[in-house]
Amino acid sequence: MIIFLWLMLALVPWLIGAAVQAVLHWKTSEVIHMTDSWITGSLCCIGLGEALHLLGVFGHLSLGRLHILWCGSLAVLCLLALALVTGVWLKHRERFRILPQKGGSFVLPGFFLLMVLTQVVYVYCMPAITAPGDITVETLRSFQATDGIYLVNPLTGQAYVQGMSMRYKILGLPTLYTLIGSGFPVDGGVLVQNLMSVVVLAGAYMAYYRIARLLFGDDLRKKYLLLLLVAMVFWCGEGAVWLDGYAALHSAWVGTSIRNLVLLPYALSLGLEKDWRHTWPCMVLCVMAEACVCWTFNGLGMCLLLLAVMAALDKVSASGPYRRLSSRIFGREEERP
Amino acid sequence: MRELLQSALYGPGGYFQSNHMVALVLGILLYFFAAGRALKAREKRLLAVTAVLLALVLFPGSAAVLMLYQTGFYSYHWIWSLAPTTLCIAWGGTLLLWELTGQQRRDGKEGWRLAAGMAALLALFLLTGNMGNLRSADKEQETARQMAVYLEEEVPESGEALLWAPRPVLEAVRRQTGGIRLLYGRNMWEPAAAAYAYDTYPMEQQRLFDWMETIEKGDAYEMPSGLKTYLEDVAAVPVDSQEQGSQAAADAYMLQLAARQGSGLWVFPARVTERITLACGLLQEEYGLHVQMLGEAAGYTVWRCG
Repeated sequence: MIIFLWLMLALVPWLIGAAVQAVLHWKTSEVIHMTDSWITGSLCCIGLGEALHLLGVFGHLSLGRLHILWCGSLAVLCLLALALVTGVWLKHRERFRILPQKGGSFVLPGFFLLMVLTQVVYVYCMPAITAPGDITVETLRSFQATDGIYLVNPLTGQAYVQGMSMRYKILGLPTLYTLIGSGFPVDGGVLVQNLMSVVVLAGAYMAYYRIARLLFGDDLRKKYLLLLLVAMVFWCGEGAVWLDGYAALHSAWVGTSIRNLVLLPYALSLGLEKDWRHTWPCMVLCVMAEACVCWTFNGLGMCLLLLAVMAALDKVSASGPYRRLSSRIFGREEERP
Repeated sequence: MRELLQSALYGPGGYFQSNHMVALVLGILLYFFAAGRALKAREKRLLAVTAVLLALVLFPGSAAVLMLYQTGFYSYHWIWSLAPTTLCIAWGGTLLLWELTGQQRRDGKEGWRLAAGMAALLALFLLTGNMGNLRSADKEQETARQMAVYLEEEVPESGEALLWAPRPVLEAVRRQTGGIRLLYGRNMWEPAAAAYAYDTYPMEQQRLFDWMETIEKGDAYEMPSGLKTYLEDVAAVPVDSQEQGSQAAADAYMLQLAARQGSGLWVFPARVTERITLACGLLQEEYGLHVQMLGEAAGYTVWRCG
């Protein structure tokens, strides 16, 4: 059953994401990368989890009913996505790229995979540490015990006296984890702290791979070197809660870690594309996903700010003084995308 | 706003202490700006975005605005999430390694040069990085987890009565199961965990927490002044007295307070069993409450009141 859960976690987001990417790039014949598809699909799953969470909180639906809705919605989405992806695949097989292109030596990819494997083993097998302020596991346990969403205070199991903060109440991450684990015989603590950590870590490398692809194009060695250095930074910078290394290796299941490891790099990669007409739906997905998993300023999180800064820089870079300054610093030679 | 400005002013120093890799980011930015190298458009954008975001998190005025934007739930250090430091280090490191190790020269030794360059870079990462959070099975946490499992599986009363126990046990119990209710939880002693709800604890429960801390930590731990004052003023027990009788009276008072607060299931460290037994005897005499020891596991004892 655990293997089935792993398969679901890998395939369902990919399938949904591939369909979304196919729709977004319907008129163009761009390649649909596996990494892009998986991240987009995961963002859609977060959105679905959030919708069900809000139904549970404000519609007072039981966890059992939410589970049925979750399975039903996923099944429908997967069937639709499968039909769409199959249709596109039959017409243009070359559009779906599962693995990176061939060519180059195996040494750097091998080193990178070895490094990631050590991180995966570390995250999956070592006992979890308590991330300060994190109550995800307690929340999941309280949902399971009461068969409902926020019926009791997760830290005591007693009913709320003065209630809980609305900004926290609307965050759907614990419900998403509960729904993911509800159909499988897996312990809640293991699911959240070990299994989901691996999933988020994989998502982080997919987001960084996307950036590497944008920066280095077809140069496979440079791409894997960048990923290898990211993995090294994770290992060497894990001593404080706010560092990416800590997020990747110790608390990947937390909302802020998902934001820092997956959403922000993904948003940055979308901004780097400078193709706002085609990338805006994914940007919106990214911003909304952050609002679903993180405590933000009324839904306006870091992703939106990052994209706003990048858009502002685009405007400035189009102006004359900036062009003169840029050509003085970097020279006039290359302006190719 | 003044507080925010102050944290923004002193924050960068604290952040740098926790992550010296910022120096690498600044070095990379300086190198690519100063060297005037020809870069692709996307690389220029990445550099520009990183430089602007770094300026935003370093300059106190903009940092204060960012702190306001990220909500008061997070401290100054979290605004650094916005600056793509990991990416900048990895990208800059890739280009520098490529250039400095002469990867364009295909003489059969480029792999070795790259390996040497990576070893040097790894050494730099180790020097500037911040490690030391190695996960391990903490002994205290492990015994607390065993106690939580014992309560869940062996003590049927745990599903009904409110549990009052030392801090590690309470933490472990809620992580182990949602079926056991606690007298108070992690939000009693962890401010970040208290931010999720508006609920606060009455003064009596805070004193019960203080008392349990003194029991758990032993004689080396000085009794908090709040508990001392409470025992002297409300329970009229002289705390500073060395007499065993006055300690038992204070303990019995706290136990009956726990019972009055609704807790019927207690867990104490096994090394204070004698002290608790003495207090329980007094509890029955003075307050008419019957306490019974249910069992012992993982260095703790379980008691049932009423």
